[in-house]
Parts: sequence; structure tokens; C-alpha cells
Amino acid sequence: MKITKMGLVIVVTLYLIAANISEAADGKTVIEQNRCVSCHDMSGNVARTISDLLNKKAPDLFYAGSKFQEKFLFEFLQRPYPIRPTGTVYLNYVSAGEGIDKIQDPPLCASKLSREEAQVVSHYLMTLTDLNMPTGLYKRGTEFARANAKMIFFKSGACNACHQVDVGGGSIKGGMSGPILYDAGSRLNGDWVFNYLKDPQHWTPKTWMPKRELPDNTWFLLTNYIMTMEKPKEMKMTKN
Amino acid sequence: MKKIIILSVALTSVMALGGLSPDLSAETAKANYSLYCAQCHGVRGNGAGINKADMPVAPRNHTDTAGMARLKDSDIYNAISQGGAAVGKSTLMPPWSAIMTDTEIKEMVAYLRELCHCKGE
Ligand code: HEC
Ligand code: HEC
Ligand code: HEC
Repeated sequence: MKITKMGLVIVVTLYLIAANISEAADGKTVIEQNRCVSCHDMSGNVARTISDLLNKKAPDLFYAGSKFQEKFLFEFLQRPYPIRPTGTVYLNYVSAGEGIDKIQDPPLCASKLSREEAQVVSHYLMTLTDLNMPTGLYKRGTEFARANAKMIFFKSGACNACHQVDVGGGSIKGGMSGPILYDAGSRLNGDWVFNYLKDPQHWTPKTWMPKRELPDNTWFLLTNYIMTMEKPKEMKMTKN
Repeated sequence: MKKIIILSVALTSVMALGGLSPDLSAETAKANYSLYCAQCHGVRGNGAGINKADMPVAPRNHTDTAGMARLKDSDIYNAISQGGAAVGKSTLMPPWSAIMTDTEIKEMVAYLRELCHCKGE
């Protein structure tokens, strides 16, 4: 009796492992079929010069498993929504304008996967991680000094100069050159946010986000704050 | 089970390694300006950047000859290197010393002098 039970456990475990591996393999196949790499880099070729940067059509995905939450990927790959108001590389979408520069509407992600495809692809993307990234730092629901975090975000660190956030009641305000952050809490991985804030250029050497030299506890405070940001049900956008 | 995890972990780490070790060469001041500064100061340097709309303090117009002439080269250098707060200006102007080298910042000061067609004290 005991032996058969153990046998069953082994069979089930082996089956689960095999299913897991084949799911990731399926994900790779779907990615090939949909030519995701015609726009996205998945092998670590970051832009090291400004002229290389200008050729990037879409964000790098080779550390997607460190950056994102799987649930976000699953939904986004079926119904992409705009993340960067001025496109992947803003310089490709701006031109001189009267009083304020003009923005040409940037393209959305072209992914239109089915539910089943999105499932295996998001699963595969979650295996693309940066193993050198320290993890286990961020815990959802941790108490933090919110007023202090907001003071840094909106005043001393001026993060809203480039990022759109919900400033209350679904009113979206902020700069255009960085990704939206009002959905960050359900899109990004908290540990990655902390590591990114400490050194944005580690991930994207030619990103135009400035690097401020601040102590870890300040970055951690900001991480906690950013991870509470959720897309408001109704949004009032301010239009340039 | 463990072996498989270790193997897939090893594979993903190889994939990730390619990208993550900055080793960059210097860029021209013009290229740096278009990447880092134009988002606020505008593609023409006239203060009309795309981030301007929601900013309580307007980014400086670098083509304003009289206004820019009032700034010393050392003040411009410090503003770029340490940010607006270091020269008693708005924190909306970020610090760039962690990204640009001393030489790149000096060349940027010279480039701003070209944009304003002016000299500092
Ligand atoms: C025609 C080019 C194109 C193709 C093909 C494409 N994408 Fe995208 N993708 C984009 C662009 C552009 C963005 C950035 C959109 C934004 O920021 O609003 C993007 C964004 C993303 C993001 C979010 C990345 C981030 O850092 O914010 C993911 C994940 C993604 N794509 C996955 C995929 C997958 C998986 C496929 C294949 C099924 C795919 N994309 C196919 C252009 C493309
Ligand atoms: C001058 C503009 C600018 C400022 C100021 C700025 N950022 Fe960013 N930020 C960016 C850009 C540009 C990116 C990355 C775009 C890319 O590489 O795709 C970014 C990326 C991010 C990301 C990752 C988002 C994502 O979806 O990839 C976070 C989180 C973030 N910034 C938080 C902050 C915080 C916190 C501050 C203030 C301390 C700040 N930013 C200040 C421009 C800015
Ligand atoms: C996030 C927006 C932003 C970015 C990016 C930015 N600036 Fe500024 N900058 C400002 C603002 C706002 C002011 C005006 C500050 C004030 O008047 O209090 C300013 C002021 C300045 C000044 C004048 C300082 C003084 O003493 O009056 C210089 C010089 C300057 N910026 C250079 C640059 C350069 C060079 C870059 C790119 C490396 C850059 N800025 C990037 C927002 C920005």
C-alpha cells in the first residue's frame, strides 16, 4: 500500500515537472510563431550607444521574469494597453512644437495572443530572470511612512516630472517621457522596482531616467509607495 | 526536481548575463542633450519639452541669450552635475553626475553656450 502511494506521488511529480517544462517550451514556440523578437530583444543585447537606442522598436524582455508579475503578462499579452506615453524611445516620437513639443502617437504592443497562448508565453517569460538581482526584499502590505514617500516622489525626488500617477480621485497627472506608474502595483515586481530605482542604468544603460544617489531605505520607501499604485476605475486624463 | 531547477536557473542566468554590465563610451554633448535634456528643455532647447505641461517650475530656455548670460559656467556645471537643488533652483532639474562623466558635463556647458550664443562671467 505504502509503496503504491509513493509510486503515485512520484508519477504525479514527474508529470507536473514534464508539464511545466513543456509549457515553457510551448511558450517559446508561440513567441517564435508571433515574431515577438522582431520587435523585442530576448537575448540580452542592450543598447550601449544612443544610436543603438534609437533602433530599439520595443522594450527588452530578457529579464521579464524579474520585472513583471505573471498575472499582468497574462492579461497584457491578450489586450495590450499603452505603458509609455511617448513610445519605447521618446526621441523617435517627438518633434519641435509651438510652446510645447509635439508627440506623435506611439504604437501599442502588437501581441494579440489567445488565453491559452498568453498562459504559456507568460509562463515562459517568467523564466527569463536576472539571477544576480537580490530578491525577497519587498513584502506587500508592509507599513511605511506614506507622507514621507509622497514628499520624496513629488518634491525632493521630482519623480512625477516624467511619470504619470493618480494624484487623487482618478486624476492622472505627470510627465510624458517615462512609463506610466499609476498601474505599477499590479504590473511590476516589487524587488525589481527597488533594484531598478537604485541603478536604472544597470538595466538600460542608455535610459533617460536620471540616477539619484540615495540611501537604500529611501529607495525602499519609494518602492513600497509605488507598489500601492493601482489603475483607477475611472481616469481623468490631462491632455497636453 | 532539484537538478531540473538548477539547470533551468543556470540557463536563464546565461541568458541574462549578456546585457547587464555597462561598459560605455562617451557621447557627444549634442547626443547627450537630445537624450537626457530634451525631454524637459525641448528638442530645440527652448524650454518646450514634453514634460513641461504638468511642471510647476518651467524648464529653463537654453536659447535665451540674456537669461543664460547671467549664469556663470561654474553654476551651470553644478546645476547639471548636482541638480537644481544644489544651486538654489528647483529639484525638478535632476542631477546627472552619476551618468555623465566630468568631461561630458564640461562639454555640455560648452554646448549650452552655443545654444544661447552667449558667454558667462
Ligand atoms: C511590432 C512590434 C511588436 C511585436 C511583434 C510585439 N511587441 Fe510587445 N511591445 C511592443 C511595443 C512598442 C511595446 C511598448 C508599448 C508601450 O510601452 O506602451 C511592447 C511592450 C511589451 C511588453 C511590456 C514590456 C515593458 O517593459 O513594459 C511585453 C511584456 C511585450 N510587449 C511582450 C510581447 C510578446 C510576448 C510578443 C509576441 C507575442 C510581442 N510583445 C510582440 C512592440 C511589439
Ligand atoms: C527625467 C525623467 C525621469 C525622472 C525624473 C524619473 N524617471 Fe523613472 N523612468 C524614466 C524613464 C525614461 C524610464 C524607463 C523607460 C524605459 O527604459 O523603458 C523610467 C522607469 C522607471 C520605473 C520602471 C517602470 C517601468 O515600467 O519600466 C520606475 C519604477 C521609475 N522609473 C520610478 C521613478 C522614481 C521613483 C523616480 C523619482 C526618484 C523617477 N522614476 C524619476 C524617466 C524618469
Ligand atoms: C525632469 C526635467 C528636466 C530634465 C530632464 C533636465 N532639466 Fe534642466 N531644468 C529643469 C527645470 C524645471 C529647470 C528650472 C529650475 C529653476 O528655474 O528653478 C532647469 C534648469 C536648468 C538649468 C539652469 C540652472 C540655473 O541655475 O538656472 C540648466 C543649465 C539646465 N537645466 C541644464 C540641463 C541639462 C544640461 C540637462 C540634461 C543633461 C537638463 N537640464 C535636464 C528641468 C529639467
